Amino acid sequence: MKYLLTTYFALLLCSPMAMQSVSANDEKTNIATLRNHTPIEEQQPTKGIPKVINNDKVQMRNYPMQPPLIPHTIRGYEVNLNSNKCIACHSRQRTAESLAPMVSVTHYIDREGNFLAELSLRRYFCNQCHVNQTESKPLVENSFVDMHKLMKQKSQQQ
Amino acid sequence: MTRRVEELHKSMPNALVYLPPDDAKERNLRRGDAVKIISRRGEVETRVETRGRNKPPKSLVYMPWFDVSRLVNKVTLDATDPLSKETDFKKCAVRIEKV
Repeated sequence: MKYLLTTYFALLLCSPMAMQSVSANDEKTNIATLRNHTPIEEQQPTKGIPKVINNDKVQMRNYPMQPPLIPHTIRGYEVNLNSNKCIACHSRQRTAESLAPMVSVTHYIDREGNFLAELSLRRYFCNQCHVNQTESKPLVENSFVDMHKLMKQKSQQQ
Repeated sequence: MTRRVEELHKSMPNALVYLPPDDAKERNLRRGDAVKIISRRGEVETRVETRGRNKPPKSLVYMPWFDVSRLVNKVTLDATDPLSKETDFKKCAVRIEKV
């Protein structure tokens, strides 16, 4: 009985350490978290809103169908029932003046496949797909490889 | 993929609270101010955004839940429909206070 009791006490003493090792192990084996192991009850201090990149440099698309990113600020641009500020520069009629890239030809096709003279209404709300970029750093490393590069690698292997 | 695709992360790096400009003015809040969103269940701290792409009616605030560093689900309901077991995380009454 005495022996049993001592083992029981030993177990009790051990248990906090055992718990600790389990949680440390959890941290190692779990999927990477972007919380940086901040306890659930706590919160890291908030950071200010980063600035929008406004350098007018076109960023290469990662795949042909990617909606191009907006390389300028769009503060105060109205896109609603009455007006669409984006179209003031990006529509076919205005590009010669503005030197802005023309809205893609897919935006002039309605859902039945008819070519239209005007922008199709289903493509009217530009910032549903097109977004700004801010001066913030990526949180995780990205190993994305362009499709073009992949094909090149494959042809070199053969 | 949330917050792991570079372009998407750079376009929306953190979960902000979207306030109609009139509401922000009434509460003396400006874009970028740190605020606490408090409900009877919990609170979360974040920054104010008044230039959201939608125009919600007055007194309607929105905060997305993609950001693991700001757990907005501490604020929302934990009610569950007894029949369908569907959760009701999506809306609740909140108070906003400047930090």
